Amino acid sequence: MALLEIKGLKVSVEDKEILHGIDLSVGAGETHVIMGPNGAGKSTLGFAIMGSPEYEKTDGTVSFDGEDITEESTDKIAKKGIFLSFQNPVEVPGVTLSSFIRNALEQVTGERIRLWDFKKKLAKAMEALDMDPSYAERDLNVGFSGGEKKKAEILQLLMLRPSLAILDETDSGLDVDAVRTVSAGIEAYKKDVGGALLIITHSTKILEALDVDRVHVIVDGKNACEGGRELVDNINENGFEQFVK
Amino acid sequence: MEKMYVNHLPCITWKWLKMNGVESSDLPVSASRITADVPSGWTVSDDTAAQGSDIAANSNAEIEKALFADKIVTGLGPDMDRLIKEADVPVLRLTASADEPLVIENIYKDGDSKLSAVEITIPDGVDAVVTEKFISEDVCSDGNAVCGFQTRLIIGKNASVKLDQVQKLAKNVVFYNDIGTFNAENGRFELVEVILAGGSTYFGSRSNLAGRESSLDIEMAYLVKGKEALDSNIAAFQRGKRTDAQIRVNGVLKDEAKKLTKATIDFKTGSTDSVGSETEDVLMMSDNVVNRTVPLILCTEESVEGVHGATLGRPSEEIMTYMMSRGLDKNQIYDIMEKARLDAAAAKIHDEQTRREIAEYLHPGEETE
Ligand SMILES: Nc1ncnc2c1ncn2[C@@H]1O[C@H](COP(=O)(O)OP(=O)(O)OP(=O)(O)O)[C@@H](O)[C@H]1O
Ligand SMILES: [Mg+2]
Repeated sequence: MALLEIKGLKVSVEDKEILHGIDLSVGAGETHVIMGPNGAGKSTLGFAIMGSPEYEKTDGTVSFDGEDITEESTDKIAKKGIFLSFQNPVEVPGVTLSSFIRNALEQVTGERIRLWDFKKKLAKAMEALDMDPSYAERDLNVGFSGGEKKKAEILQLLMLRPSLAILDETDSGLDVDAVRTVSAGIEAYKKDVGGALLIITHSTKILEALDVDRVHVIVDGKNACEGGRELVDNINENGFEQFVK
Repeated sequence: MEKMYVNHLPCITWKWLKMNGVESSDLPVSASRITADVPSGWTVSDDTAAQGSDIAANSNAEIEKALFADKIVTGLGPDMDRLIKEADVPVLRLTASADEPLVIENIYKDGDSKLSAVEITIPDGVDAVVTEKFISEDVCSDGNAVCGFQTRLIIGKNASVKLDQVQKLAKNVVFYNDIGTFNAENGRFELVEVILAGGSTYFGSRSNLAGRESSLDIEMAYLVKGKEALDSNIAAFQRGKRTDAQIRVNGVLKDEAKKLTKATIDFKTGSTDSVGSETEDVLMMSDNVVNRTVPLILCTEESVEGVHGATLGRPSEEIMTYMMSRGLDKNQIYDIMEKARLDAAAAKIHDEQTRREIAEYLHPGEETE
């Protein structure tokens, strides 16, 4: 049984259908890649899996760990072990990065964490991601640069340890060094947590150090093609033209 | 006195007729001597007689005249002075020293009807720190109490005072919290006001920015919940050249809370090159709250700069989705947002013990620094 199983998923935003019946299956611990032209519906798929209320599922099912989560609320889906790294992380004035992660961690684990232990873990993860420690006490994402926001997403991934991480263009907007640091962070997640990855990307850098199990191409809200790692190279050479009917 | 008229708006408007001021007949009657460990460097005066007032509580002309005559007129206004005089409240008159901070803790019990007053002179060049706490013995009690407290601050040349106030009162307590300052040249008044709880609160703070380059900085945070009400009147009377008034209010309204904030920046003739800004940001956690804000910038001087802004609302859908995607439900998000506001103001309080008490109240059973 797959960890994530999506069948015939149709999703509408403001009464406009964006996804027209997507199928996707990700096994525990596997690494899948989603590619597709701008506006194809990749982020929409991420938000829909996460149960974001704006994205209405009009048909099909999403199940996770054997449970139907099609109608589940976002917070419950997160607690079940799905994490979405946002393409555009949201600024949250008034709430510090540190207190946000601590609250979230207590929710997903259902346990109180000693402040001292938490701080130590957080500091270690921030160091691994080459983040300035002072960011822990800054308001979440407020005034962070594009790259810093992406790092803050991976920091949350490392702290929350979900069993499935959807990374929506986590690599875009990162400089060369940052791509390397973030890739290392993702590798660390794979190694320590053994979770599955669903990576939405337009580039290949982030995939270099990972064993990719499957590549899915989405065009115009539909599955256009599926294959192994070689599909990534094919797309890099020939573009998406070949899949557009 | 049967009734008291407080929190008079410095400019009468027809539009805001009902918000010009409030009349209240729930008045504290018994004089209460302040007990505080006055630090050794501070001096206590023998003169404890209250001054009273002969100004009409609702006359802006008379209030202005007094301010131009270098008097202190408090935020609640002249009726509070009269009440203090009538109750024969012994005023604690102190002269500050920079060495040690002063902490005044007022613990109120059910049935209390206490009225107290303190007047602190901050000599030229002295930087003083004062903490005032207004706390119900049992914050969960539903007993009644009506209490009042007045703080007058006479801030000398190049002197400053940091006043931190914390209010944590039970749900049926009526409380009058009154502040007035006179700022001489380059005299600075900094106020951190944290209102955590209280049945019906009248809060007023007026600063007479008489001296050149005198300034005030007010950071206020409140949580008004249940059937609680908060009526505030904050006024900066800017007379001196290059004076500066910064007023920031951050609040949370829940349940059936009622709140009115009046904040006035009043640039008088001669206040050339002065600046002032007032902002209020309110999180409204229920549809049944009453949120009213009257931001006023009055101006009889040309080369001044006044800014006001008010924002309100709930966390955006985007923020909600983002936070929920990390496992937090709606109520937890509201809770985090609301406490974050109070935490941010509380962090600015100088007295460590007081900071800890606030953290324990906001985050019971949770480890904090
Ligand atoms: N909240 C929304 N409101 C309105 N339209 C939306 C919303 N979200 C997505 N869309 C529309 O759905 C389509 C798919 O958008 P989506 O963001 O999923 O594309 P994408 O594949 O992630 O593209 P990109 O590679 O540019 O990130 C677009 O036409 C977009 O305008
Ligand atoms: Mg996208």
